[in-house]
Amino acid sequence: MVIMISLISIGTVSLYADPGYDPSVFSPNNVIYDIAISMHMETYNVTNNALLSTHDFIMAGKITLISKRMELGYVAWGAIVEINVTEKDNGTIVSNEYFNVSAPPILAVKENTRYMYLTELIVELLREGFENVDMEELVSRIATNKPYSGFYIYNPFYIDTSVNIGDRIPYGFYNETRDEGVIVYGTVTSEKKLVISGAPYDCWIVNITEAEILEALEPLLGEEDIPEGIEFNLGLFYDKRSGWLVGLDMFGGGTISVDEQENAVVDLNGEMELVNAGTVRIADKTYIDRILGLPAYTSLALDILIIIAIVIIRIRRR
Amino acid sequence: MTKKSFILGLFTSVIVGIPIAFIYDLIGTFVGVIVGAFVAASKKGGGAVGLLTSPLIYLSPYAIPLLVSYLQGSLDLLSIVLLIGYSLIDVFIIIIAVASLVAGIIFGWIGLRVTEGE
Repeated sequence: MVIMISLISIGTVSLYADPGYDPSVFSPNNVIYDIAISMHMETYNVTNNALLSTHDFIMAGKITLISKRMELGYVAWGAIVEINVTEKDNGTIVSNEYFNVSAPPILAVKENTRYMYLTELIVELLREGFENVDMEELVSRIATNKPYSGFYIYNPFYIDTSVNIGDRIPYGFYNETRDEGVIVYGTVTSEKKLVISGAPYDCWIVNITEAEILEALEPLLGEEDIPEGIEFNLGLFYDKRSGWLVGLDMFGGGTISVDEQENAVVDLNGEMELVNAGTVRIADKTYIDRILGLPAYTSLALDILIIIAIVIIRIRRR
Repeated sequence: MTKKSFILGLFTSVIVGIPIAFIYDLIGTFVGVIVGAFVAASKKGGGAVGLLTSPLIYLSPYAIPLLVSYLQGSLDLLSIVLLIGYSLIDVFIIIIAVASLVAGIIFGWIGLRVTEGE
């Protein structure tokens, strides 16, 4: 009885807790993104500015997010990654590889926060190395896997719904044990109506530029090691109603000195688009509403009607 | 309890619980179990409804989208077997099932009292 009451009360508290997170963002399932990243690099002779070589790196594919409750207050996240990576040297394809990885939900997201913790299993795997893994032991321990407190990553897939223009959103990671980390602050720069994969979304736009990244890296690199002449901008688009990431746009580039003889001009582009919102309640539509083509709140309203009907029928039968 | 009310309780539990579970899994599970047990209208029936339907409702936000992806051809069979298989090895499901059994017994008994008009 005590367990039941605590399960229900924690659930209810989670639904209405501050800050304003939509409860469905903590447990995304079948959320699919199309991702494409490309990098073009040209190497030049410093003396006569002659083009020496070109190198292209193209990555395209899709990421599907899955999740499942790990324990009270924590939801385990995993992903199915299908990516095609192509590399070209001077216009000739030198490698073309396809990766299809299904990672079960083993990262722990703390509800009502943006903290994403590693789990005891992952930490042990990282310490011992993946090559020494005993699969039988690993599977037997999945059932009792727990969040590894002390180190968290800021989850980039959602933000608080109560943000406003000018607010700063943290990204990166933090080691609570050592009291240090790398935190890059993005800024909510504007709001916009965007059409992503054919669906319209009212979005908050969060921008991260090279200045914010360099500011975060300065304590680690030192002022003299910070590269100059590099331009970078990452725009993250979050649905205003749910705070969920519906897309991102990235571009950057600059000239880097390879050695005394050569300079490299790098051009980076990338984008990610939400193709399927899955179980995240975007625009107030649940997964069932969306898959059945129903208006927002329909499945919930029907549920409430069924409950009321059952109570009335039971009482009238007395 | 009649056989009919028990079967009706099983179906009601799943139909009521799953849509709410897509918003919040724990609330969906317990609302479904409570309503199903109320319909089953007996301690035994309510307990059985709780024990049998709670894992289904609780896992539905995880398993249904995976099954839909498989049916749409965007997920291969090996991935779905691995991912759903993983979800079944979980201590938390046992905790939910036991808590639902208790909730089912209590609300089954309440359903019986309401039906009998005592």
